[in-house]
Order: sequence, then structure tokens, then C-alpha cells
Amino acid sequence: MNVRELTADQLCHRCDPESIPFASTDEVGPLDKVIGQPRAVAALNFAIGIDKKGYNVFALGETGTGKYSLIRHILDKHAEGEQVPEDLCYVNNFKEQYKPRLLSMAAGKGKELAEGMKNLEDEIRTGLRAAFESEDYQNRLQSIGEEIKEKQQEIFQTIQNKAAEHDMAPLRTPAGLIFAPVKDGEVVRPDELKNLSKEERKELEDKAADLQKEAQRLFQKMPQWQREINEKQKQFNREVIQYTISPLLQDLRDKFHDNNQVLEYLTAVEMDIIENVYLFFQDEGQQAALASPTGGRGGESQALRRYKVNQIIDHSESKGAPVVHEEYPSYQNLFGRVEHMAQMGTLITDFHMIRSGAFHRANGGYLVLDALKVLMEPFTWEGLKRILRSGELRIESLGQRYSLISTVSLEPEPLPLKVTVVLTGSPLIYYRLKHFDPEFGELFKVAADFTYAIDRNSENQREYSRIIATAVNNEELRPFTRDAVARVIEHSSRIAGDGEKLSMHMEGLTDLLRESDYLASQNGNSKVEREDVQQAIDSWTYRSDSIRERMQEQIYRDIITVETEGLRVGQINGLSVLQLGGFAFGRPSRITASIRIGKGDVVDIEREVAMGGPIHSKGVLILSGFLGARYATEHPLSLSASLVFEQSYGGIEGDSASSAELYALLSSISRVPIKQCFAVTGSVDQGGNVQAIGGVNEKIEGFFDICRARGLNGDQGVLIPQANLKHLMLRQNVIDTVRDGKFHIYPVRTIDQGIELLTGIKAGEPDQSGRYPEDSVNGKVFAVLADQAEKRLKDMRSAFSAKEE
Amino acid sequence: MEKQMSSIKQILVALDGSQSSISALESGVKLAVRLNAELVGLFVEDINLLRATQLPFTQEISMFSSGYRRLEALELERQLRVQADRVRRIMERITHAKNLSARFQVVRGSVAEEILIASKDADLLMLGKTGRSLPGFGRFGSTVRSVVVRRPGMTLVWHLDGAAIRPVVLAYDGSESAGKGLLVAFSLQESQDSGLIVYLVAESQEKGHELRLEVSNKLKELGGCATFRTLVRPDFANLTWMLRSENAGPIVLPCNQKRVSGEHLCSLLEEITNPVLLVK
Repeated sequence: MNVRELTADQLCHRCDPESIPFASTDEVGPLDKVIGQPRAVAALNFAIGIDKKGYNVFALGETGTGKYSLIRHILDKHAEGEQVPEDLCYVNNFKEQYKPRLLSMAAGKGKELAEGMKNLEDEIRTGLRAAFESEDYQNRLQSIGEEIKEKQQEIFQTIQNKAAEHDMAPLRTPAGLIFAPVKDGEVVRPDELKNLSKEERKELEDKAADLQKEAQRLFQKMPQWQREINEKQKQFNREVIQYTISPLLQDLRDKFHDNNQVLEYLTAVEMDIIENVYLFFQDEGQQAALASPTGGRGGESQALRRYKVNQIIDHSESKGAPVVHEEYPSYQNLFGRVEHMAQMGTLITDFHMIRSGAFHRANGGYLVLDALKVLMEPFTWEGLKRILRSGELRIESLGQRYSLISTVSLEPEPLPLKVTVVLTGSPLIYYRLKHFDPEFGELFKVAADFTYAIDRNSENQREYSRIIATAVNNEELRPFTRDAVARVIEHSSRIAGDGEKLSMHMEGLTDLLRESDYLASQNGNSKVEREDVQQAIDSWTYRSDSIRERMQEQIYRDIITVETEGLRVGQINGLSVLQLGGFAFGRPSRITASIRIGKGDVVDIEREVAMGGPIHSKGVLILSGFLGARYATEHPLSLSASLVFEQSYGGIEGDSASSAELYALLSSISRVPIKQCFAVTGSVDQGGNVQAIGGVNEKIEGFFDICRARGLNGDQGVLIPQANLKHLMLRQNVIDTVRDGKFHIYPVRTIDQGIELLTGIKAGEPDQSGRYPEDSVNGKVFAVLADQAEKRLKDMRSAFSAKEE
Repeated sequence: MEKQMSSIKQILVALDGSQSSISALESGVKLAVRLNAELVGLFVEDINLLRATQLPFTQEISMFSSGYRRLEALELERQLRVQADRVRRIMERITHAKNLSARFQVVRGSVAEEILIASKDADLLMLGKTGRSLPGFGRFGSTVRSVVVRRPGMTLVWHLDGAAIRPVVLAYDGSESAGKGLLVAFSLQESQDSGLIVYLVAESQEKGHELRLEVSNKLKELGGCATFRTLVRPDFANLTWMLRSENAGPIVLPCNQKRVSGEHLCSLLEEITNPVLLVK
């Protein structure tokens, strides 16, 4: 059962510089296609193409995998060929002022309307002033006014004449009118009446009464006459205004002849001007007193403000559909807002204070948002779902929505929405939303899954080199030589933790390129060389590994005991990986096992003290399964074992140490010592097969660093699962040491292979009766377990007899 | 010339609370300030009204409520007091903060008679053209008619439209009255800063030239200037047409001829819608 030690060449999946299709990155043009994310690209294309409600996209992938760049690339490409959306303007709703109307018109037309309405105000004022000041208008208006005067004059002249016929005259008192008999322009004295006969006096009184009645009747008619005259004057004014402004509006009507919305608005404007023409002639003092709600524009006339257009979206310069990325997706930034202004202690607003949000800008196109930011902004997630569900964008303040404030505000006409939302976020967020939010699935039907790594085949490797070249060119870095690119590719595989994969962590890749460029400049290189890249990697590692250094120092100084030579029963060097931020490193740990007679359980001390995770516990429990299956075929498993990571204070998770634990256990049972010059990693199944684990490179390097620091004795090495061979991307100094034969790496498939390497004793194959050779490890284990089973049986019998007695 | 200008020492404004009389007061105040003259506001409690209350059948008709009611003398007196008080307050408001000697007086009697009596000492009488006439009555009333015919001095019959700033027009025929009128017209246009138009009323164009030279010299002394129009033997129709076409303000009219007196004068005043200053 020989295990072949790995050769130096097997320890790293080199990238052959000759496979790079260029000598230097400056020879390569920009990459115009997307590579490595076929699933995500297909999902995005599907969502863009389907154009149905709810087919919004959630792009899930780890941070830095280039989600945004790729999404932007695809969306921009599609948007280029799509129709430019309409311009959007809010205008006054003359019937319901608090519900401004929304006008949409062809791209570029919004500016024309806004400009036209702005100029119109001045033209109308000039036109109306000319009309009102004209002699014709004045004459006509005066003649209408004269009508009532003439009517009144005629009537009162009649009364006056009637009164005069009877020597009477109407006289104005401070509060009304009286009729009195007059003689030579003077009211007759009371004593003169005495000279009149009774009949004459009666006649005089009757006449006075008749005149009073007549006058009263006429007085009652006066308001009606006045009303009639007012109406006539108004009607005349309407005719004059309409005649004046109609030609001025005609120009705009012609420009928007195919837009019924705008034509209706222009008609409403015409009608409103007729009713509110005084607004054009308010003097400056009045305008200042009725200052517009917007700051800094106090001089704006009431008329201009009333008829001016608030263009919230201008696509005059746009080409294709919009692709909007909102960096700060707050409620207001996304859905728009209505601003207010404090004036005389009151908050006031009007349709000019409506501001657009990202959804307005993206309507007719695409909106890209970071899911985490959306979720962290108060009320934004609910708002987003609401408008996607309803299909219309309603601008309303949070205070208004939740009835927190009672300030009078606006209810702008909602915008019919046609936008594809692309949320970007981690898989964790995606799956949480999918699980906990029932609406999420309905509204984001398309998942664009971004992989963190792609296969490292020759085609992808070539394309990847082009990605590198594109990034170098985009970042305006020094050209990278073929060798340098090859090193970057190798490092990419290392980041992916797999020699047959390439990392799609574009942010990390770009960082490495930038840092390599900097070091090349420091080194005086006009092109970035392989050494510059290596220096950048080393430099990054150095900047990140202070904690590793401190932990390893504790091992060198024997504060934490890890033996790297000699033999020990029930003790083995396990390997674990610590991840701190973006930096991972391996750390050897001493694992010990102790046994005693028992009922067949393996005690995981880490678990007992709640320092072991469930996967680790599972790994330990598998050991019982293995022991039972292999050694307890004829008698019950009658041992109890304890396993522990010695001097571990931070908790253990994962099953990558389960093979090491099993070796320690077998050593402890068989009393066969284990060589401490080895460290072991790999999980194990119940059949004794060693399985792949993660972080194999870091683990090997972690033990190598300890051994090297203490001085390599030529025996030291690491046992790794055979399945991890494809993941090997080891550091150059490890490879060189292996090449020199001073460090060894063994790929093992089974526990038997491993125990042979660790103990130097055959594991032992079972014979036909299932018994192992006595001098083999398995034979020794079998013997001890059989002995313990016998002892336990005996103890149980004694105890049973004692009980019976 | 300054001396001649300051010959207007007192201006009497007849006030009855009508808009026309208030407008006359506003103009009178400006003129009084300009001429440094005393301003007297006169309110007359009409004896005819008081007399009418003593008649057994006199009933008051209100303009703003239905029906009519018996008007007692006491109540009428109270109404007149309230009206006088209101006019006094208006006058105080208008004269407030003006460097002006002003007083307000109330008398009782026949309105025209009392105005004529009170204006004996005044150099200029101002009164509203329409007064508190019946609704729709734009024509001037019997009081104004009586006063303008009988009063010997200068009388300015003010029209509501006179409040607008328009050039002052002087009809100049070279008479003594016209000379007086020139001084007042000059002061009036100065008080309004409105400009002066002189209608040279002459028998011929040559006479018109002479009059123009005469007026120009006088204005030179006053430090002013004017626009001239020559009207050869004008009739009322010519004059009123000219005034309308000029869009003119007050007209200063010398009344030294027979045709500018009595009923002729009243007809002319009926026709002209501008304020008219009669200089006798």
C-alpha cells in the first residue's frame, strides 16, 4: 500500500507563458465580450428580452466578482439599440392645484415646451397690455360701463321729472334718499303745508309715497343691472384675451399637434389665463409679497410660476434607453420627492418643487441597485416592491404616507412605470429574501448567478489573459509581460483555491495589477515583470500576516506545543485554516486521543464545551461509525474515547481534521506511536476513505513554515487527501524544498495508507475470516477492542450477578 | 412773479363725503403745499334735509335694504354728525405729515349759500363736480351750478378722473383773468409734475403768435415752459374735442366773456369731463 510522494511539479499548476497569446498587454485591444459568466449573461439577456411584469433581476455573487461591470456592459449594449424614452414634465393642474399633471412627450420635446411656456408669459403680457391699452378696447369697455350709467340716469331722470311735476325733489341723506316738496330750490317749510287743504295735503302725501315706491323698486334692480354689466364686461374681456393669446399658443399647438396630453394642457392654460389675467399685471410689490415657494427666485411673476413647466426628465441628449445606477438608494433618491419651503412660518410647495428620482430617470430602461443598500435604507424596500407591483410611480413623502405630518402637500399624477430593475447582492441576501419575503419571488423572477471561479482550460486561460490586458489598459498601467500575466493567472488559481480554476474576483485581480504596476515603477521597470507581480503578492501577504506571524511565534517558542519530530502515541498534528478578512493561513494543532473501556462512544471535547461546530461533531461521530464497522463485527465496541484539539481556544468547525482524529484514535487504541514529523488533513467517511478538504495550500504552508523555522530535518511533510491534488497551488519556497527532498507531501486515499505513513507499520488487510494480522495496526486495534469488549462483558456479568444476589 | 403766485393764500374745499370731493381735497392739498396756502375743509349740514324731516310724510329709502322708514330730525342730525366726522378724519389722513396749515369747519344752512359765504375769503374754491348725486348721475348738481355761476373768484370744479396725472391745460386769451389763470395753471402742473399745455385762444394766427410770446415770457420768469396750441375763434365743441384728443388733465378757463358765464358756462361744464378751474 505504497503512497507516492508528490513531486515538486505536482505542487503547483503552472501557467505556461507560451500559452499567453501576446508578448505584452499593450498589444491587446479591449475585450468586447463577456467571459466566464455564461449563466449570469443568459439570465440578464432573458430578463431584458422577456419584457413582462415581475421579470426583474437579482444578480447574486460575491463582492468583487465584477457583477456591476458585467451588468453595465450588457445593459449598455442592449440599451443602445432601444428607443429613447419620453421627456417628463409636471405642470399645473388648474382644476385641482394639489394634483399636478404629468405630461410625457417625445425626447427633446420637453425642453421645447418648457422654453415655449416660459417665453409665452412675456409674450402674453405684452400682447394683453397692448390690447388693454388700445383705444378700441378702452372705448368698448367704457361704453359697456356707460350702459348702466345711462340706464340709471334715464330712470332717475324719470323719477326726478315725476317729482318735479309735483314740485318735489329727491334729496340724498347721509344714509339714503328722501322726497320732499320744493319751492325755489328750497324744501318747503312745515308751516307752509298748513296753508294747504286737507285734500291737497293728502295728494302731496300720496305722491310722495308713490315716488318712494318707485324709487325703492329701482334701487332693488340696481344690483341686477350691475351684475349684468359686470358679466358683459367679463365676456368682452374673455373675447379680447382669447383673441390675443390664441395666436401665441398656436405655435406650441403646432409643435405638439400629435400629443393630445399637451394639447389638452394648452387648452387648459388658455382657459385659465382668461380667468386669471390679473396675474400678468400684478406689480412687483405684490409679486414680492406673494413670493414663489422656491428660494432665490422671488422676482418670478405669479403668472410665470403658474404656467411654467417643471421638466423633471430631459432626454434631449440621450441615446438609447437609460441605464441608471443609483449609488445612494434612499427613499427620496429612488422615488422622487416634493420639496417644501418655509414661508411666514408655513411650509409651502407647488408643482415646481417636484423632484425626480432614479426611477424617473430610468423609466423606459434599466435601474441597477445594490440590494444591501436598498434594504438598509428605511422604507425603501417596501417602496420598491410597491411600485414594481403597481406598475406606477407615485411621489409621496414618508410623512404623508405614514400620516406623520399633516402639512398640505401635493399628489403628483403617478408615472406609468416601465423599467427593469437589477439588484446586485450576495447569495446570502438573495436566499434570505427568497426564503423570508414572499413577494420577492414574484417581483424578481430572474436570478443572475455570478460564479466566483471559472474552469482553467486553455481557452478560458487565453481569454483570462485578455481580461488582464483589458484591465491593465483600462487602468492605464504599465504593460504586463507574458511572464507577468502568467504569474497573475497562477495567483488567480491560488485565490480560487483550485489549480484548475480561475478566480472571478475582479476587484482582487485589479488590485494585484495596480500594486504590481506600482512596484514595477519602484523597481525601474518600464513593463511589469513576473518578479514585480510576485513582489506585489509577497508584499500584500506581508502587510496582512501579522496575526499569523504572532500565532506561529507562539509555536516556535513552545508556548503552543506542536511537535515536529519524534514519536507519540495518541497524538497527531492536525491542520486548520484561519480566515481573517481577505487573508487565510494554515495553523498546525496538536490533536490527542485517549481511550478507556466504555460503551462505544467517542467524546468530542470541543463539542462538550460548545467550542466545536456541528460539522466538526459530525466528523467525530463518523469515527464511531468507522470503528464499529471495521472492528466491532464480532463483539460490541466497548471503548470510550476522548478527542481534543490541544491548546485550542477559539472554537473548531469543519471536518477536515477528522482523518487526523482517527489516526490519533487508532494510535491510542493500538498503542502504536505516530511520527510527529507529519501533519495531516482530510476528512474521512465511515468506510475509511479520506476526502477532500478546503484550504489545502494554506494548511501545507502553515506546517511547512513551522518546520522551516525549526529547521527542516528531511522527514517532515504533510498528508493530504488524494482528491485535493488538483487544488495545489503552493508557494515557490515549499516547491523548492520538496524538490530538494527536505519536505514531503503525500496524497492519501484511505486511512490505511495514512496510518502506514504515520506509524511506519503496515495497516493490515483482513483475511477471509475478517481478522487482521496481529502485527499490523488494524490487528493491534482489533485485539485491544476485543480485549476491552471481553472485559466489559465480564464486568457487566459480575454486576448482573451481584444485583441478582 | 413769485409774489403773484403767492396771492392764493387760502384754498377752500367743499366736502360732502363723495368720492369726487375727496379727490378734490387730495388735489387741493398738493396745491396748498405747493403755494404755501391755508387749506380749509368745509362741510355743510344741509338745512333742506333738516327741514324735510319736519314734514309729516317724509320717509327715507335705503339703497341697501328694502322698505322705507320715517326719518326723524334727531336721527338725521346724528347721521350728519357722523358724516362730518368721517370727512374730517379723511382730511386729517390726507393732510397728515404735510407741511400745511389746514382746518376743518362745519356749518349748517343751504349748501350753495354756505359755500359762497365761506369762500368769500378764499382765493380758490374747490368742489367736486358730481357731489353725492343719485346713482348714475354723472352730471353736476344744483349746488355746483349755483356756486360757479354766482361766485366771483377762482373756482376749481374737480372731476373724479382728475386724480390721474395729465398735463394741465390753460385757455389763454390775453385777458387779466387769463393772466391769473396762467399762474394757477403753472402752480397746478408743478404740484402734479404733469406739464402744461397752453391753448392760445385768438382771433387770428398773428394774434396767436403775440399771445404765445407773451405767455413764453411770463413762463420764462416763472422758470417753466409749455406746449402751445393756437385755437382761432374756437367754440365749445372745438374746445372739448381738443381736450379729449390731448388726453389732458385740468383745464384753466378764464371767464371774462359773456359766453363763459351763466347757462353757457354750465353747458360747457356739462360737456367737459376734465376738472375745470374757472378764473374770474
